Amino acid sequence: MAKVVAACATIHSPGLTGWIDEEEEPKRKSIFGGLDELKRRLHAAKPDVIIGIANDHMLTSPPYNMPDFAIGVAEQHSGPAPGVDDWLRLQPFTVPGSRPLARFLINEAMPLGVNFVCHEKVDFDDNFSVPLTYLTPEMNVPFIPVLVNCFVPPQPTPERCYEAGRVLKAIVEEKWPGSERVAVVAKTSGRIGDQALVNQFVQLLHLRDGRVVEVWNYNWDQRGLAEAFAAVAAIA
Amino acid sequence: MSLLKNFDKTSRIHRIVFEVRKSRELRARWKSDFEGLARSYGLSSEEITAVRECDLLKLTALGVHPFYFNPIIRLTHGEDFEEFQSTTVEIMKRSYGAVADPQTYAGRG
Repeated sequence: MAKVVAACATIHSPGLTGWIDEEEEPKRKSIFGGLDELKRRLHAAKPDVIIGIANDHMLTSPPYNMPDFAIGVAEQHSGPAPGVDDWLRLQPFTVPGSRPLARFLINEAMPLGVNFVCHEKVDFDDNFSVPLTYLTPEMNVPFIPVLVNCFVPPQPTPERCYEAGRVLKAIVEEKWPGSERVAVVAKTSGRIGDQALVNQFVQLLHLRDGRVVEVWNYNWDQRGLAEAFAAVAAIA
Repeated sequence: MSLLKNFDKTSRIHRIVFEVRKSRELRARWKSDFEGLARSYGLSSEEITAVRECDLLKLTALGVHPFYFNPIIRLTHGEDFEEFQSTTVEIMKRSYGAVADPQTYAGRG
């Protein structure tokens, strides 16, 4: 029986790879200390598959056709997408997908009332490329990208995101016939030095009683939807 | 001002930006024959001018999602990333009088 063995959240700020040298040393130390600890814990959980949850910067889906949720089903993913590679200062990479499980998640979510749109190709920008670079630099753990609409109104509510996260967990643990150890990694849009956002996020993570509270606005300016979704998926 | 106040999900500007970003061939055509390319996507003269001039206020009024400002500037001005950044700052100052949120609008969102 498959099991969600780890759930965590980190930032996907492009500055982490693109212009980290501009940051002050104490902050750099703090950032990488946190990332190293997260990486240590993630690896200690020995995941066979990682489900990554992040926002779509209107790169994979356009603003005129943006689903609330989507899953990438490719057998192999690649990044960073053209046009963001020099910005992120990352070399091209590939990471294996987990097509059978990704397809299963999409299909099994249907009767449970969550529509995950199917993407044969997900364009990786900072959303997935930056966290993968730091957390699984070997790029050898099969990866399933889950995208959330954070920018195009009306975005899904935190309650809806919570439901989507709950459904993902239920499918993995109750319906999927495999026995994989699955980790869920939220890849949020927080920025270096954005302590307020970090505080909000930590506050949400502490809501372990299963209820969703509207911790912050989820409009375009505030962002935060991927964070909410990922966080609630993590604690569901 | 809410940048999404006039957001028009149906704007053809979104379609051209979305598709051109993903195509090396179309990116080259954006540089060499923007007007012809834009016409083929059905953009109006007003829209063509706003995009070509990276007029952010006009683009906002035309309903363009602000997260596409950065790609529009990039397609128009920057193969070189450093040049793109400095150009973006200039455009921001011209449009808003200040760089209100450089992380978002200068490509760091």
